[in-house]
Amino acid sequence: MTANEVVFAPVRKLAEMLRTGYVSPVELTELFLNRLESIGPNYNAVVTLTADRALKEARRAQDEITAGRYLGPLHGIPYGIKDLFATDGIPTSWGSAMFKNQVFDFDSTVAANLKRAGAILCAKLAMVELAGGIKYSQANNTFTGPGINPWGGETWAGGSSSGSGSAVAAGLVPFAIGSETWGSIILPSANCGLSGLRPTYGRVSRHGAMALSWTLDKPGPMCQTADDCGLILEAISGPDRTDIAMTNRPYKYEQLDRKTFNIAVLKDATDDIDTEIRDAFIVATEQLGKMATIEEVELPNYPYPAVTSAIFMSESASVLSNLAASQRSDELTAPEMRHGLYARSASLSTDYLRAMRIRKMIAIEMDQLLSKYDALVAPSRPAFAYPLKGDWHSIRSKDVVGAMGNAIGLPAISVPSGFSKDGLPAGILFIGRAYEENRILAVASAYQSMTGWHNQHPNVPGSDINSEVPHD
Amino acid sequence: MSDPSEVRDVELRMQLLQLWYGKNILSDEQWENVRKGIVEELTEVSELLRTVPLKWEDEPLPMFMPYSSDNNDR
Repeated sequence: MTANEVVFAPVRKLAEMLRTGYVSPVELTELFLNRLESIGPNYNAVVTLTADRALKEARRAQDEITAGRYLGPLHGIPYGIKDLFATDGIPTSWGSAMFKNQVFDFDSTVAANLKRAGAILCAKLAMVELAGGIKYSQANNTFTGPGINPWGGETWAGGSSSGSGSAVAAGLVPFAIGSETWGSIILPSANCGLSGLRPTYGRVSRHGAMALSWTLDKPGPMCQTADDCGLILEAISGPDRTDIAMTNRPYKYEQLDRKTFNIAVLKDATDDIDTEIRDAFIVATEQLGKMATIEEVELPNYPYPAVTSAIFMSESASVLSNLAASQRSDELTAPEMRHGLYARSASLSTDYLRAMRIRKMIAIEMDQLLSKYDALVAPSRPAFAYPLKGDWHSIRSKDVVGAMGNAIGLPAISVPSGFSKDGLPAGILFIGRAYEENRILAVASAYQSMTGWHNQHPNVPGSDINSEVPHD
Repeated sequence: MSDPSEVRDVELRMQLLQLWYGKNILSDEQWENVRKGIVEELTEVSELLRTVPLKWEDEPLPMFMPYSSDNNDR
């Protein structure tokens, strides 16, 4: 097996290689550490390489597997985590020069859960400054440099989980952890041609993650396949008394044995979007029609972006109030963030509560609508990856579907669904009922087994792709 | 923006911010960008939220939840 096949292999396949001794955790970790170090800078993907911790964890995993104490599919699997999650003794910058020397003395629950599952932390990955909580309109939005998309060097990886997107897409780690408040998993997953899962709000603990908007923040996995997202979600979910928003509903990933599905397609899903995205989506729904009953539906009539925006602006204004008062706004990377920090302080509490009241109405109506289907589908994004250079203000479009899903904490997975003529990935989004991740994972996996878009990978310069992976 | 009530809304919020943080914290150009940010992000949001009729009994989500370290099942 060549290194190229290994670095883009799904976690499930790597797990089998590790379990059977085809490759060892140390060999695999060294392979990915080398790639993170040598190729990571091409994409501004890495903030901190965690080589010492990685090799220590890899040696322990190797000993355990050799001794027959196999922990499961993540045992010995290297990964990277968005630099928004606390990791014991390793700097956690939140994407900001202001916090680049910040060090916590504990692991976030997500990192601790992955460690317990035997996964190996190899890198803290780049992100938009303060998770994009302050409005930005260009790619130079973090102190580690613009997140570069492996599919096109002149385009943005997406954010705020930019390094998580580019690192998995370039085969620098088998999977990564991102987080989404409003679009930060789905956008980089779509831009980078990945399978990215936004779990139900409260499914994954936020403990040790930078707070941005308490009722919107959701950690989640970014992977090569939908199936991998299920494996990772099972490891990182579960009750956690340190996060008051956590559900006590247990989560177990199950590959549902389903041949046919019920799918809803948004009636106006292709209005006002890029023509090539529209074409890819039409082809995707035709393919879905071979395995599903498809009905066209309309979203209940609510001002979704206004609702999510009011919640986001009010909660983040409170989170960022100390920073605003500190008069350090000129230390923010993107100039437009400096005024954005202050503007949101003029949010009205009455608007916040009005949005929270509308939020409940949306949640009830959407639950009724989604109860009839396995998934609601829409294009993941209305446009391909934005250019690295220039101001995006005039090309941004309203994210109605993302606003709806994030406002009421619904799970969603984006998987690749084609490419533009310039070779940039398009994504299709499967949105599910709250706590029904397994159903959307089943639909997305079935779609992937039929299409194979997820098996295409970018040409990564500097990658020694044809060498054999050493094994016994 | 031509609606006089929206214009007044923006001006009131601008005054609040400048009193709260001090006018000298930003340049005139930066304050103008704050004004645009308020127009785009806050005032329009307020208007859109008011288009949804709410009944007296419509509660927010999530509601406040009492906390106990012994029993916090949900």
